Amino acid sequence: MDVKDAFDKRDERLGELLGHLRTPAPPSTLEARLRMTFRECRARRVAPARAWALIGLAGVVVLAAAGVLYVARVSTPRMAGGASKPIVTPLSLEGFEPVLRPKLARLKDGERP
Amino acid sequence: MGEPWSGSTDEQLLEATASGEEEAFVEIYRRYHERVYRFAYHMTGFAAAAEDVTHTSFASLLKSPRRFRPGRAGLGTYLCAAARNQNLKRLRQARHEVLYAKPAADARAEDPLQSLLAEELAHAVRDAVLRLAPLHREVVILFELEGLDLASVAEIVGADVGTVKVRLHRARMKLRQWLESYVTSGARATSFDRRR
Repeated sequence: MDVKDAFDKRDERLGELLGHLRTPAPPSTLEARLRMTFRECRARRVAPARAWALIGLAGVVVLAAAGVLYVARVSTPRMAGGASKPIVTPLSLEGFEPVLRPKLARLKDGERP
Repeated sequence: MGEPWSGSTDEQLLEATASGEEEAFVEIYRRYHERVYRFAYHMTGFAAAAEDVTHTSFASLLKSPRRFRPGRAGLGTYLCAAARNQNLKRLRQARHEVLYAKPAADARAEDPLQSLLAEELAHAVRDAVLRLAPLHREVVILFELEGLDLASVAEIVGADVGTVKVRLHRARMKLRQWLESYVTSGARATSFDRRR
């Protein structure tokens, strides 16, 4: 047997002796322990996902509420007949008269802005 | 009805495990636990420590599944490597090795003399293996006892094949020296083995 074989091949006599090593059977509780660990890991993995989903949902709700408020308080209602919003130019106050006319009148009367 | 995952490949089992299938993970455990436990037991010398090492090795698949790269080595090899690392960590923490717990008597042996001889031989081999340095012990167990090839052993112990060969050679020399009487009187061990 050359040197390479001595390294690469199994030592039959030694392997036979090592075969006398006894190994007790793995305890039956080990599988149960691992099942518990699996469930804990799964729960830990799911919890952050749920938290992010909740945060995302809350964000969507806040944005939707902000949108509704914006539409209700800031934007101008559509004109009757479905026309687009009035374009405010210095020459046209169409649609804003109820608000602006009294103000302009008061300004003309000498009220300071 | 057979086990639902018994025909699946390791990769399929890992994917199913990652998506939360408990039975797929248990199938991985059933495939490899004996090899990992046996290796851990002969490395630690103690059943409770082997149980902990085996548990942590399988749990590592759950806690950091990306560490296992299928193209690099098989799942069994990866789990043995995890067991090896756990054992080294345990040794560093303990700073001493735990002696073998006395294993239960072999129930198969009926003749008291035969039982005694088998016990003596098992004890001598166990002591000799435990006397080896951990780096030598692991290559002997993996190559001679578990029957892994040199490349797999090298993958598990994180060394190149040449280093494994050198460690194996030194370990064999020491074992032959310590078990000289059993190595030379080979018939003694095999005779009562055959009679069993």
